[in-house]
Amino acid sequence: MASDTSGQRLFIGMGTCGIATGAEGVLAAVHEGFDKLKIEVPIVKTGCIGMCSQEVLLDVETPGRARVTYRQVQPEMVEDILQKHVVGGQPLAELAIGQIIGEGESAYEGIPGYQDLPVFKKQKRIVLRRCGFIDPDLIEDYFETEGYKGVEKAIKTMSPEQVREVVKESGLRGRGGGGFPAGLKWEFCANAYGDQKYLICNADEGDPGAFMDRSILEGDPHAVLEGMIIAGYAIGASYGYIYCRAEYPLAIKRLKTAIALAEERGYLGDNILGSDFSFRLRIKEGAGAFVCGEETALMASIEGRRGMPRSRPPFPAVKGLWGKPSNINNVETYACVPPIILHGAKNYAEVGTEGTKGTKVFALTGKIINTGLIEVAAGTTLKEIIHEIGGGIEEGRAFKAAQLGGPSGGCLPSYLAETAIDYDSLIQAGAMMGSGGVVVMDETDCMVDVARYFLNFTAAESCGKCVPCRLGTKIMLGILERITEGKGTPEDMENLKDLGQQIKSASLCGLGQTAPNPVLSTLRYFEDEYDAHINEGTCPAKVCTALITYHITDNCTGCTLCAKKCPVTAISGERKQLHTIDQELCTKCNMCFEVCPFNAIEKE
Amino acid sequence: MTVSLTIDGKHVEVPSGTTMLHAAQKLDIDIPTFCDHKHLVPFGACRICVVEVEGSDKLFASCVTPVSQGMVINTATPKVKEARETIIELLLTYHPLDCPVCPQSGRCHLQDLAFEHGKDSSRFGPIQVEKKVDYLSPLIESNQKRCIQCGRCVRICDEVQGEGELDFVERGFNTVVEPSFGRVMDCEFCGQCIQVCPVGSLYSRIFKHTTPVWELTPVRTTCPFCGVGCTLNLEVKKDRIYHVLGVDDEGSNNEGFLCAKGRFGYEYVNHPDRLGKPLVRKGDVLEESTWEEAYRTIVERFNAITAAGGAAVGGIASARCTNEENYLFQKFLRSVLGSGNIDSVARFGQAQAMEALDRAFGVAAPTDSLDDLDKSDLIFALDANVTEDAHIVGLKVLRRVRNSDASLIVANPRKIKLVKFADTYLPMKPGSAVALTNALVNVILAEGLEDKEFVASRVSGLEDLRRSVDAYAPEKVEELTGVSAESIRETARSIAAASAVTILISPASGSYVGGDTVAAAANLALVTGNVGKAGSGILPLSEYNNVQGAMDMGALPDRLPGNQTLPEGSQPGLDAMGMMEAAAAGNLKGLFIMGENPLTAFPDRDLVLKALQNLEFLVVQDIFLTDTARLADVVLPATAGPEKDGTFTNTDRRVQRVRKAIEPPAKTRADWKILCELFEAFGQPQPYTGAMEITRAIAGEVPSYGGITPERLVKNGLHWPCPDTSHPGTSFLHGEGFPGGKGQLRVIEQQKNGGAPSEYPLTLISGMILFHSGTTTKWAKGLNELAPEARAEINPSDAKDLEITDGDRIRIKSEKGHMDAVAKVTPRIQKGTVFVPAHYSNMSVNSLMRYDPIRERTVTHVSVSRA
Repeated sequence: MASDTSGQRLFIGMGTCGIATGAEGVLAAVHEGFDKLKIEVPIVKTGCIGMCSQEVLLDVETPGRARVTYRQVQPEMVEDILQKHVVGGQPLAELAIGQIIGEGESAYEGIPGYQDLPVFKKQKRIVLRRCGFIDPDLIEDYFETEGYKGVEKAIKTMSPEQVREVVKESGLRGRGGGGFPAGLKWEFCANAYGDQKYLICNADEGDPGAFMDRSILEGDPHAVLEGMIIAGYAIGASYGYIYCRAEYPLAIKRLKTAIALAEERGYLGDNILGSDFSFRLRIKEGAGAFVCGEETALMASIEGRRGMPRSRPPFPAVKGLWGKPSNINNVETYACVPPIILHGAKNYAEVGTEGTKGTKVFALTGKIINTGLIEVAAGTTLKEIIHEIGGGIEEGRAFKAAQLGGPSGGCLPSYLAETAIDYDSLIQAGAMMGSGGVVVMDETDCMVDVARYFLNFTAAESCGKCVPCRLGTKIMLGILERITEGKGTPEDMENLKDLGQQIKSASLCGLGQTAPNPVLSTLRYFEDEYDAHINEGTCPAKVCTALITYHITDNCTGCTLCAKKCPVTAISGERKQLHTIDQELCTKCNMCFEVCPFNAIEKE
Repeated sequence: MTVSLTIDGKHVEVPSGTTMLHAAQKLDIDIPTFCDHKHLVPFGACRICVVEVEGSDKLFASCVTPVSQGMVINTATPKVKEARETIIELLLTYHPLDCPVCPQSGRCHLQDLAFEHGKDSSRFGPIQVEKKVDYLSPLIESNQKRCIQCGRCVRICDEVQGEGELDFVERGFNTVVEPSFGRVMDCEFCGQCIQVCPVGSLYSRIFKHTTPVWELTPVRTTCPFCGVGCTLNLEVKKDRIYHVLGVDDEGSNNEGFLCAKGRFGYEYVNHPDRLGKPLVRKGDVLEESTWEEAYRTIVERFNAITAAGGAAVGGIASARCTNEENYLFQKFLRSVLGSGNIDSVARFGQAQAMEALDRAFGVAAPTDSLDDLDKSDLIFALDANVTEDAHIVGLKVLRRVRNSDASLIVANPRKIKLVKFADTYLPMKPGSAVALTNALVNVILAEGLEDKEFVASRVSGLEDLRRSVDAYAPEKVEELTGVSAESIRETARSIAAASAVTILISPASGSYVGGDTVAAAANLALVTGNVGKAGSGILPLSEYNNVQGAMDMGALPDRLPGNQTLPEGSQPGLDAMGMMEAAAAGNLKGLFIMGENPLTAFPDRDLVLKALQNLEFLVVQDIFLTDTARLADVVLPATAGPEKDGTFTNTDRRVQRVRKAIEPPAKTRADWKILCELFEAFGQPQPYTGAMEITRAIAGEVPSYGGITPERLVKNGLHWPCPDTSHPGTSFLHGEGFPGGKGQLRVIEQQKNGGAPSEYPLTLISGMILFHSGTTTKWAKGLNELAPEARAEINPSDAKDLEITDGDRIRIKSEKGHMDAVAKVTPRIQKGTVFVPAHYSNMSVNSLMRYDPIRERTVTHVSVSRA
């Protein structure tokens, strides 16, 4: 049975999230299905479209009809989709999450349009506009979506000064977390004295729970290259480095392909587009030190030295890589540049707030339903992000707080959910934009434990150069560990506050200067939880194992499941009889709580 | 451009770019520091130096933050004080308070600050650390429990020393300072790291657990090892040296840096093997005796020989002893024994070099000063083992090359340490320096790159030179020198283009033909106009502390003190090797050796042994019973450098003070004192009663030392010429012109070595190693641990052919003799050559080498096999 599949395309989400969920298997199943059905449809292997929790995503696009997205696709579902939708023209509405209805295309019945999906409704996609839509390994896909038009416009019609002016006017601020105006930074570097200048892309994304840059590099690598080429032109750099952590093998692979293709097409190399401007790019793989995301440590690492920050000034714009004037921006910042150049500063600045123009990409993780990647206009509130785009909290539990900006950031409690997400409002609220990680916490999260988690991270990632960070984080971590073990003392809270302030004010680099933030902000908004741990010996969220005990309630049906699963055989009881836990033996591993089908395990 | 600002209410103006710390120091405002160090790039790690700036909430690390116009800085606000106390408390959470057993206790910066702030513990409680103490490395011990990670050691090891042996390992709280991959420290053991460590984390193993530092008295003196003449403080208690620190002030030329010898070599002074009493030979046995008997024997036996004329006796002066002692020695030889046969170990290198410089420029002295290396824009290390021979010069070269646009060219058969930092490395074959230098001159003249104005006005002999270097066109010497014609041309062009070129040479390296190398280099300096201005000229590096001084003092067969010529009609005496030959032939019957060990230090061990055994009477004045002293008829126990007063003249003509730091062993006497008493024993009045009196006498007799008096040498050294007491000394020579009118170009030919004979296929290179200096250091326990026996360097490819592996015992043979050594297989040395260190009396490289005063061969051919 052959059928007309001409003009149809399949899309498979082959970002790291897709692959991790089984996209390779789905792809194999698609090929098997092709053989079986004797069809051949082009497959677009896209990056992440943002709905990581719904991967593997498989889309079917038919000429004249909307593109239908199937979610959580398993290999065994593939044949059915191919048979019914690709061959038969009938989408499987029950497996679809939504449909993208292009201009002049007719929609299918019973499948919501993307524009109506809560997760997409409030998004404004500029940086992510190609992610999930193009094959990142095909430069033609990029060309078809305005690719390299920004470079062409800049080099052919604008002077470097004009490019810098446009970026300044756009109000673009560095998306790595610092929020320094990008155009101004470029100007410093352009005006710095030096025969050789370097451009650096910071792709050393290291915050736990942050994967914005990875997704951009995986889904739209040329956009980053294009932004860098424009920036190189604007500051007079002839050589650029992309410092990407080695833990991002797929991003590195796609970057390598993209660089080779851009070189082949003359967008990188000597005399780009026939101009005097020559620009080359090289990837430098980082070895996974968080501190190498700090710009001076990053440069030291590129130079082959130990990744340790140094004091500024001199700033990189004056004395950077190899002692030469250098400009560093992160992945997202560069990715913002091509549309700014192509469509003008005004167009970009229309989006966002007074102080924060444009959009920001966030990685949503934690106790939220729609974990994944989103892009919203600056000024969107935390509430909109969590409850609308993010779909709210799992199992209807109450939203408690969100940690913004990773280990450098702070937490915002639920009552500040109306805070608009822009650089300045967040600083005021004691958090920071950071690079864009949003970790959502609900009532089952202990804020002291959360602070301990982040301090554990920063203490381990401190390079050890300066005393306040090296020792201060270690000591703060020790205090937090004591508190979560129920051994805290009232002085501990004072010491945390005092030491936190000292570390902030005396540390050498951003890592140390922000490391106490998770502690200080949880102390600020959730002091009662600290108080409960220290003075009452309880963990209100029932997380800190030293402070809780497990009991079995009357709900118990005597199913014996908990007793079977208990690793230390602390649970005993006859079949169909109420079971009990031997507190002497219990290690508080939480296993019984997790397996009990009747909610009969209680934590106290 | 300057900026003005206010610190603690006081106004100050400083150049823009000045750090807050330096601006405060200008106002004498004290800001504590741990990681900051004047010789290191600011690091900003310890944060103890934080200050507050009005208008900012942040604290600023003053050591790394530059000031700006109008800034108002406060260094002692409550906020600053609180921050500092927090830093101290943080460090005290883990830094062990094991002060009673810490070698740094008493000069520990952390101890001082904790004391000042009254902190004996931390409110944050103790943190358990599991960090190790390195007990394995020789000389330098590292206790990481005490380390505060200021990084001074790491940085000085890299920035100053160019080694990078120490680095931070691990991160965060687990950071430690150690060699990579968990190795035991294996480095140059300069101990710079020890000296800069603010706490007791890195320290001398020799010093630890010996005495508390507050019981030590520092005595400022000049290092007794190489020709650099580092200023150091011997830290002494009673009659013992316990510790050494380099001195870093405007009066020192080493800026506090030392090498392994300077820092750890002092152990020889208090060695139990020191000679304690005079020895007089009774039959076959040297027996302990009295000074009276020793003197009596000397007078009788010398008088018996000199009855027929002084020419039958001779003297070997000392490149170790002071100027005063050498001055007296030659005076004793000339006026008491009536002999002009005086020479020293300088004969085998530095004396030839000085003769070459004398003939070229009219003064027998290095033209440049070490300080002026900082003004060179090209440094040419020509057959110079810079790091081994004059360690601190290596550091100065390194700094110049790293911190400026100055370039470095190294020509050497071995990849010496500086090669790593060189712009150009010319892998010259041994013994071909003259050909290489002539080829450089050839290119410069052929391409018209000479300094025409300089040559026209200040140089003569150009045409003869031009003709002679015709034979040295780059292509013609490619094979002989092993350096490609293209490299020779490029090097010549770089040298010609540079505005100030310093040429460093080790004249004593190789086969005792350094004089020709220096002469050829003098031609190069003259044609390029690189004499007579700061940062240019020729610096032959002397191996021992007072080689230059011994020559200046007239310990030469053909010169009187101050390089003055002999009186009209007098014949020059025999030189060092001439004396050996005469003694071997029975014509020289008596010899007086002061502070020298010719059996190990002179070439041709067989000849020297035969000569010394053949003597009727041999007096050796030394501090140990050296292998030479064992052959003596009378041995006079002298005192070591740190036990006497005097002056040394270093390799750049700098006359520096030597101070008595400790009392010598009871029955020993200072060399100058012994000589004075010998004058008396020979019936003359004792000429001097104190060493400084002799210094004044020298000033009176030697014109270039005219202004060099003890009073002026309290802190600073003085570079001669220094004709009168108002003269500041002369850092570089010939600025005003050459004494003879013009600089003299001389035709210098490369000696043809011929091919290596098939039975001796390898070429020998000999020289110093880092850890020894002559024979004294063989009595320094720590240094001996590092380098107990001669390790002969051999290229891996030769080693493979000879089936030799690293550590094998090997036998090296030449037509002169053989020696045994331990193989060190290393690519540092080029194929076809073998390097053998000097210094070892029981593994003596001079058994292989002959002395060839007419220089018909510039290399020694050897064979190597497994022993």
